[in-house]
Amino acid sequence: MKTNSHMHDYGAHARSLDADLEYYYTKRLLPLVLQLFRKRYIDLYDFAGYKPLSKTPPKQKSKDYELRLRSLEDRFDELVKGINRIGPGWAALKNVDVLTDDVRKERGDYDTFFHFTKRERSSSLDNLIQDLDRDITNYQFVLDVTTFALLKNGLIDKRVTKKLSTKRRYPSLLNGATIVARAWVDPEFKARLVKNAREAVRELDIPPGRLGQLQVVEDTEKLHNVIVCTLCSCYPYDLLGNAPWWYKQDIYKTRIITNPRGTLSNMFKLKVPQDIEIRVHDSTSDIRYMVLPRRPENTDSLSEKQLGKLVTRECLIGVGEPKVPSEVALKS
Amino acid sequence: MTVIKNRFKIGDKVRVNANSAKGAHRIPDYVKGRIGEVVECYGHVSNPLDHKGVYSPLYSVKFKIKGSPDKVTVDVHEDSLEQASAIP
Repeated sequence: MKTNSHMHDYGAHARSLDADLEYYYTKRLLPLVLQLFRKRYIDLYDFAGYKPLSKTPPKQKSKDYELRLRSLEDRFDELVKGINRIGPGWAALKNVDVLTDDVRKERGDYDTFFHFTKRERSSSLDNLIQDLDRDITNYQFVLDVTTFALLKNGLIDKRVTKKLSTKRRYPSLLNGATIVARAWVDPEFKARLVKNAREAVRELDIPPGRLGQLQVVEDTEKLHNVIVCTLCSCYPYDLLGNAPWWYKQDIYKTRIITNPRGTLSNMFKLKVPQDIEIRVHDSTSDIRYMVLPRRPENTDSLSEKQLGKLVTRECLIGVGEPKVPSEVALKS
Repeated sequence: MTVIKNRFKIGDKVRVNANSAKGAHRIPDYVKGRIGEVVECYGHVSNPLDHKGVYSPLYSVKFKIKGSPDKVTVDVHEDSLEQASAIP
C-alpha cells in the first residue's frame, strides 16, 4: 500500500480526525443518549445483559503511521454510520419524537453551559494516535450499548438497523441541495455556512470526507458568483459528486475569465442584469468553492425539502439559476 | 506548529510576483505581475492529503477583467505576493 501513499502530514491528518471525532461524539452521540435518558426511553438498567452486537475490528498493530491512521478512519466511519443509524435523520427512530430540530436548543447545542469540555490532547503524534484509538473504541462501546438498549425496548427494529448499516451517503447533488435549502430557511445557519462551511455542513449530518476547506460564496442583489478552476478542474467532489463535463473543458475555463457575462449568456443562456457584478472564483489552491444561489421568488410557502428540489448542479457553480416551483413536481 | 501572522489584510493592494520560486506554484499566467485587492484571508490551510508541510498563508485576490465591469478572484499564497500601492 505504501507505494501509492498520498498522506504526507500525519500530524495534521490526526488532528483533523480528532476534531471530527469529538464533533460526532459531543454533538451527536452524547446528546442523543442523554436525551433518550431524559425522555425515559432507555435507562441504565437496560444496559444489563449487554452482548456485543458487532465484532470488534482487529487493531492495527503496524508501526506505519499511514496504515494506523487509515484504520482509525475506517473505524471512525463505522462509528458515524452507527450514530446515523439510531440518530436523527434516519427512519429507525421515527416513532420517537425526541429528536427533531426543536430539541437542538434543549440539547444545549448552542448553550455554553451544556458544552462538553474539550479533551486535552498531546502534541506528540504517537500519543495522539493512541488516544484516538482508545476513544474510538470507547465511543463505539457507548454506541453499541445504546443500540442494544433501544433494540431491547423495541424502539428500533433489528431488520431496519441491518438494512441501514449497508446504506451510505455518497457525495451527490443531494448534499448541495440540503445545504442550500437549509441556508434559505435558516439565516443563522447561513451565517455559519458563509463563515466556515466545512464546520457548518457537519450540522446536516453530511460527512466532510476528504473535502479540505470549503468556501461558500453567497449571491446577492449586487453580486453573482461563478466557479472555475483554470489550472485543472478542482471541484468539491467529496461533497457534490462529479463535476459536469463542460467544467473540465478549456473553452469554459478560458472564456469565463475573460468575458464572464458573455460566456454565461452564450454557453448557458443565463442573462445577468447589468447592475449585478459578476465575480469569477478561480480555485487555484486548497479552497473548494460552492455558490449559494439566491432563493427564487414566490417560494415562501415551500418546505425545506421542497426548496431542495429547486437546486441544480448548474446553480451551485453559478452558471444557472435554481428552478422555479412550476418546473418541478413538489409533492410531500 | 508555529503560527505566522498574515502580512496582508482585506482591502490591501498586492502584486503577484511572477518570478516567485518558493512555495506553491499554482498561479495562473493571466495574473502574474498584476495588482489586485485582497478580499479574503484564509490563513494557513491544512490539506495533508494534497501537499506536504504547510504553505504560507492563503489569500483570495480580486482582479479587474479588461473591458468588463466584472471581476475574477484567484487564490494566491503569501510567498508570491508583495505590497503594492494602487491598482493602475
